[in-house]
Amino acid sequence: MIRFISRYSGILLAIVAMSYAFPVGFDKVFVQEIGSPLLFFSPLQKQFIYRESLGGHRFNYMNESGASYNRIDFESLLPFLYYKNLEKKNALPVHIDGRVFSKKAIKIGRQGLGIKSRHLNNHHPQIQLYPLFSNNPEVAVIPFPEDVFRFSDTAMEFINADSNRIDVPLTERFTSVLNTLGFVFPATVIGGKTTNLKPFDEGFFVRDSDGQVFHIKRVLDQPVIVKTPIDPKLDIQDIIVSENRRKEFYGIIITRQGGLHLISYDNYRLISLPVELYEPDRMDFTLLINPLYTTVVSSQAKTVSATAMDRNYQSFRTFELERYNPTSSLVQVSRDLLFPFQICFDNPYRGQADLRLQFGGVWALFGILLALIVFLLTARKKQPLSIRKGDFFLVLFTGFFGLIAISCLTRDESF
Amino acid sequence: MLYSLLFKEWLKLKRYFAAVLLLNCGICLEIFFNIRQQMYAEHAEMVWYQAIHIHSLLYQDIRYVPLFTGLVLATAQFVPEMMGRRFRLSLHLPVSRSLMLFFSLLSGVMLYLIICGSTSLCIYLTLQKYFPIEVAQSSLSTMVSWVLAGLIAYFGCASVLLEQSWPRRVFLLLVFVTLVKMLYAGFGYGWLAPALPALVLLAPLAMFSVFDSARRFQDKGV
Repeated sequence: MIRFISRYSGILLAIVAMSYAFPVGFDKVFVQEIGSPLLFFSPLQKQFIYRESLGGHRFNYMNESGASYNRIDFESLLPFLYYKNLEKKNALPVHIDGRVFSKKAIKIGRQGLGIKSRHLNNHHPQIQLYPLFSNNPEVAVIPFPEDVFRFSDTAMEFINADSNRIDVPLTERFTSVLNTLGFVFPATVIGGKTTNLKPFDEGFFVRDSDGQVFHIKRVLDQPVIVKTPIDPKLDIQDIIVSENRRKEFYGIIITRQGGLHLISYDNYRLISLPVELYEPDRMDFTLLINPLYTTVVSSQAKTVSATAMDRNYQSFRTFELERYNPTSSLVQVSRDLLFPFQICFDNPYRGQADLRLQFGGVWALFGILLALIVFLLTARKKQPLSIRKGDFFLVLFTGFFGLIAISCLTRDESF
Repeated sequence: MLYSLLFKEWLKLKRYFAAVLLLNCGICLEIFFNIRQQMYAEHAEMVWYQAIHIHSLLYQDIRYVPLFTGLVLATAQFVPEMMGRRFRLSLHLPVSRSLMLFFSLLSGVMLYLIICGSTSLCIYLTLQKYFPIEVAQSSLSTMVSWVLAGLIAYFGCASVLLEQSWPRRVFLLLVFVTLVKMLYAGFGYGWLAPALPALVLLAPLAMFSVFDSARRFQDKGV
């Protein structure tokens, strides 16, 4: 028995190692990875235009109708994005639809927000300790607080970094206000920007155990907390805060169902973005605002989708672009033929290991068949039937991985 | 007999055990003083920010030490056995080959775990002194994969040393190098944590693969 276990332990280890390393090595040699296409809504053409990478420094600049451009023409179609180039050419202000946009108007009308799926709540390891910046109206820079906060089952605790102990007065001050407002501990979602590299601080949005969302700020070490009217039934996955001088919205709420809602400065009224297909688990998301339009781009493994909206966030145009795949079909077929599955840790939509078996396409079955034929041709008749059966099933399920492991580890084996 | 086996392994390992324990303690001390220095030199809240939000590992220096520890222990245990094929003498002891090998490996693994356990505890206590408990706890889930890598390296080294055929030895070496590399994947704290329950299963598989090499050693002729 021990012989059987030890024999197959070694073989299994070899299969694990090969299925982890071989596909990665193959991809490094034969598969070309390219960046995601950049998709914009052109206020001049009133349609989507995009830059698609062809590998290296080669790019396609096209619009959704199929017309292609050079880089300079492409950039000129996006005056709100490349307005500094226009400034160099003395081509400002920009005239669009009878309206005039100066440099200042463009600057104050722009906002961008990119959300990677791997940065969302529960998609990456994050110690739940956050700095709550203390706003001082008389100080221009945002000083880093000397403490971090966490939500326990009963309190909003502040831990002082110098002493590494809980700051009891500060903790009591914030917890008392939260209790007064009806906060139900512990917190379930905590959203805020943890850097002081921002124009001003809007603190944190925290969802309690009852689904109520609270806006927590700290002004001169005093709590400024608002119980927002945000619907507690929203199944919030994450709240992304993005301080911007436009002060139109605090940030964005992402629900587990893929809903996107801006939290407006107008008494926390939610503005729902009319995005048809957004799955937070497997899509990245970009929001681009310019003085005329808002564009939402969501990208996934095979396609990039965009929705253009007016300034009232009403959708009027959508576009989906299939990502260019520079890998030849011969390479893809060979990969499937050789590797019936792959052990993966990396996932572009996760900030931590996502262990999974990724199976090959239909050609993997032919690969297994080929491996079985080789196995049957080379199997030694002197082996006990149980071993031959075991090896057969191993090759049946693991293809060339099993065949190589058996060949390398059990060659010259005596019975 | 089994007590004698453990004692024999201890005699082989004690100097190397002391040496790697000393090395581990030295690196733990270095980490402690580095963190203390950083806390004094910079604002503590900024060091916290780096550790919590930038995902800097302030105990990064310990990363490859379990790997080194595992390799040293396995080498100290099995290289003397392979010199002049002395291992065949052990195979003549009045216990089964598997039991004898199991106790040999058990002694090495126990010493390895004593060293890594002490090291992990030192790192944990250091972090607990200067950081909130969550940071100290995150170090444990981060270091588990490094300790596991050292354990796989220990079994891999034993397996390769006991192996008699050179092509198979090279193949096993590549397999174990890949497995160890797999356990060092990622960055920051807790990157591999979700995969750890599955990765822990590699350890018993690696241990049993040593039994297979020992069987082939015996089959080659004692």
